[in-house]
Amino acid sequence: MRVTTTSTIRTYRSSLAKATLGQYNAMNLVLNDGRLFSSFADSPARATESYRLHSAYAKNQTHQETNDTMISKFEQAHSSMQQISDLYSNALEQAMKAENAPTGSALKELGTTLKGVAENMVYTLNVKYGDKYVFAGADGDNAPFELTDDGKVLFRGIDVDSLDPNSADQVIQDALKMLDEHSYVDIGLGFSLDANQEVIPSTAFDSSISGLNIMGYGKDGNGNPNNMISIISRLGEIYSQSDEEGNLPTQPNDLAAEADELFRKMQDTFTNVNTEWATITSRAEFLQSNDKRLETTGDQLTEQFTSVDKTDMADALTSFAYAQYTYNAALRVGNQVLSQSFIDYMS
Amino acid sequence: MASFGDFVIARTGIMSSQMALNITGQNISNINTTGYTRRSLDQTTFVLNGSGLYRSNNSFSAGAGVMMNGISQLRDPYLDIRFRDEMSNVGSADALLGGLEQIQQVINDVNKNGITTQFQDLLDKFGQLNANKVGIDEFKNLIKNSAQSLCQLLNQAASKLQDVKENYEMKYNEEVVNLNDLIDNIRNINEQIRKADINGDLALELRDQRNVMLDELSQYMKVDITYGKESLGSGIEIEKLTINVVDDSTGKSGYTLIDGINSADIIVNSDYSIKVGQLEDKNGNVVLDDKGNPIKNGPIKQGMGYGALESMRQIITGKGEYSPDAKDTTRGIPYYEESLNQLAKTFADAMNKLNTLKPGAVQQPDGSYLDADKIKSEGAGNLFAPNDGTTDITAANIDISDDWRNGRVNIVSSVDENAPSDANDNILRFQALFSQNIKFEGAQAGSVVYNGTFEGFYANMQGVLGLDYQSTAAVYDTYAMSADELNNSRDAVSGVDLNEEGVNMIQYQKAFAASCRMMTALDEVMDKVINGMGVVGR
Repeated sequence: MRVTTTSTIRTYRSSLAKATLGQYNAMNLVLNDGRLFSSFADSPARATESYRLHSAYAKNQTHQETNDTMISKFEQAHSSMQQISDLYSNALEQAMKAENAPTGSALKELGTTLKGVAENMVYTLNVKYGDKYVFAGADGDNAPFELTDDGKVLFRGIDVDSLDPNSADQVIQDALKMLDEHSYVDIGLGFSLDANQEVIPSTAFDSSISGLNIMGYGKDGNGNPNNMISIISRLGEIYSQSDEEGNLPTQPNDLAAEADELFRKMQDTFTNVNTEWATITSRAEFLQSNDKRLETTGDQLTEQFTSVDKTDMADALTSFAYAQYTYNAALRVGNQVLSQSFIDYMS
Repeated sequence: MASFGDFVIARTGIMSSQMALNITGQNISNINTTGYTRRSLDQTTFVLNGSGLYRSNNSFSAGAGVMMNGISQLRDPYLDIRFRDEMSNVGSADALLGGLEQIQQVINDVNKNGITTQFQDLLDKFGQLNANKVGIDEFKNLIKNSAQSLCQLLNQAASKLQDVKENYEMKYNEEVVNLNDLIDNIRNINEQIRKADINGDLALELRDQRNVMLDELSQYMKVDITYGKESLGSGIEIEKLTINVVDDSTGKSGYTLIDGINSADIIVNSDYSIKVGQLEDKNGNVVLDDKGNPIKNGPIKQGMGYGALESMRQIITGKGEYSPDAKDTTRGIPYYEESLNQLAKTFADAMNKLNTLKPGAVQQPDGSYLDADKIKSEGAGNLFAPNDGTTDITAANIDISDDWRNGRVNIVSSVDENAPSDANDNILRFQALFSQNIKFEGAQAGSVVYNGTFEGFYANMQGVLGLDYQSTAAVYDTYAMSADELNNSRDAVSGVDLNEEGVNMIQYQKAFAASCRMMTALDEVMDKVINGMGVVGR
């Protein structure tokens, strides 16, 4: 084939342009911290993979934020339950003193103390995390518990003792639905909805904590309240009615007998409170382990998208050195081939 | 031969060597002239003797020197055809690549904040609202602001795509004007070559210029170039160049673009398709065939065109999966506009539905919904609306609704109006919407553009664009390399080489010097005859 000066120059120019482009790309690879692509066109497969990993990472970050918030809320709940436990111990101590037939006005004072404990329990359970009441079930905007002047414990405005599951009263039945309230959050458990657009419970975390469930509601067969605050409040109320000698009225009702029953009931109820506390603790532990899992997943995703997005600097520098070598070789060849022809040697 | 005949031989030698040196000089000086075809001198031996009745068998002739027959251009027409075929491929891929590159400047979120990250941000804001913040205005406002940013990003993308489209439309029209100028120039040069042919002039420079124009023309469209003959009468024929547009669907020659000194215009229709106009002479008179009918012309329909012009048309009009025409497979600017519109509308409709209707709401035949299906909670209403007074949401007009902006509408936390303050069933539905697989349908029956999330849809758009770009770039590289090789092959025949011309220079210089030396030798011989003979004894 006849090779002409023009075609040699054209071919050289094209090759030199490729070598220059190679060096430019290798330079950018180094300057861009080893980043391998800046558009989908550079590497559609890498970019698609990178998008999926970044998207999963963004969701993971949201899950971690939500999980952290939940941990804080449950830590708050746990701390409040600790206080409830302390208050219960105090109430139990006071009630035991009362059971041992104190003389004079001591019983009355114990009654006042127990009423104070009940009140403190209400304050404790009306604790807030951020702007929301922790133990309010699904009504975090409003303080859940209230202790009325006549010693009644109200949960979201309803007398907790009146909440009898067997009641035919529609208002009571509607109020009992509070026990079945949920407030699900997505913490990366495969969150999804069913065909009715309702959350599939196993795919989300129920963040609601119902103080009603923890402290109890309704009355037992003897007509005594099941709610611990209500019991303590009633005990306080009964002891407050003692006379100067420390005797409780027997008419119209035998308050001493009622106090005995309530004292025993108080201890039984605390077992239930403890169980609910354990449930809160176990949910908090689940959140802690989920946090570790999310963190690990986040770290893995970071590692994965970094390896998809970037090459390491050693590779980038090696590529650059090779591109530079190619470029220099192209320059040398051009200098040798293009500068001379037969005409230079004509005399 | 007479005594002084040898001077003539030497003289022709001098003249032909000088002419060959001139041609060498011309070749060297035009080494960088685009389209220049190297030349060589055609020469033959000049013989004067003939046969005759009284020719003596003992009479011989050395010849009468060298005769210059003409100057040839060294060119291979087959290589021209192959090169121009390849150039139509290069032109086609190049124009597509140019268009896709401009689209890519708009639709590219890699390593920067854009529509993809804004969808992620919006989902994150819903997550924050749901994490024990239901009903808190600050967090609802964060969602509103994030949604507004998303709308603005979609508006920007739509607006930039519109700019790209307008620029491309302008460029397309300019290219058609350039193409018509080129056709006119080829026609004009044909006319000049015709005149030169009639006068017996070789018109080598004009042919070189025409070849450059034909190379250029072949990038615009696939053409079939033929060199026929035109009879001038009395048995005299001259060359006639005919150019037909190749119908890419059949691979055969179609409408005539140039026929000798007549040409047709390329006309752009309102839908950006083009048609070949009637073949006219330079005065605008329609050229008729032997039967008195106009030469066949017409529109270049879908699938018929090929080359840069067709690629540009596809970039301007290509709707791909959004076109009802299954043959329209090119994804041009309209494809990405339609994609963005579909994304914006589907997203806005789904969000609006969640904020106005209860789950399971069924649309009535008249398009309305039963009152029982509507959410009665405070704040229910459309979150998104067009901002240009129209009814259909597009990427260009999507905006948060005035009611949402002014607080009359807000994110509905629960579809139950009597729900407690932390009820978040509807927020969860919003959250789930971002992970929901949605079927994005194309215009053809049963065609699915994408099945996945909103965020995934936009990533898919970028992926489709990236793959189109990458495959077009690969095609372009292949064609360009092939065209380069063919150009080198053409150059191997037609190009000037300095080594070769240097050698020629010496060769012709030597021949010139030898002929001159011959002249002095003859001079000496004749001097002897004239001045040395018959002087014995003087």
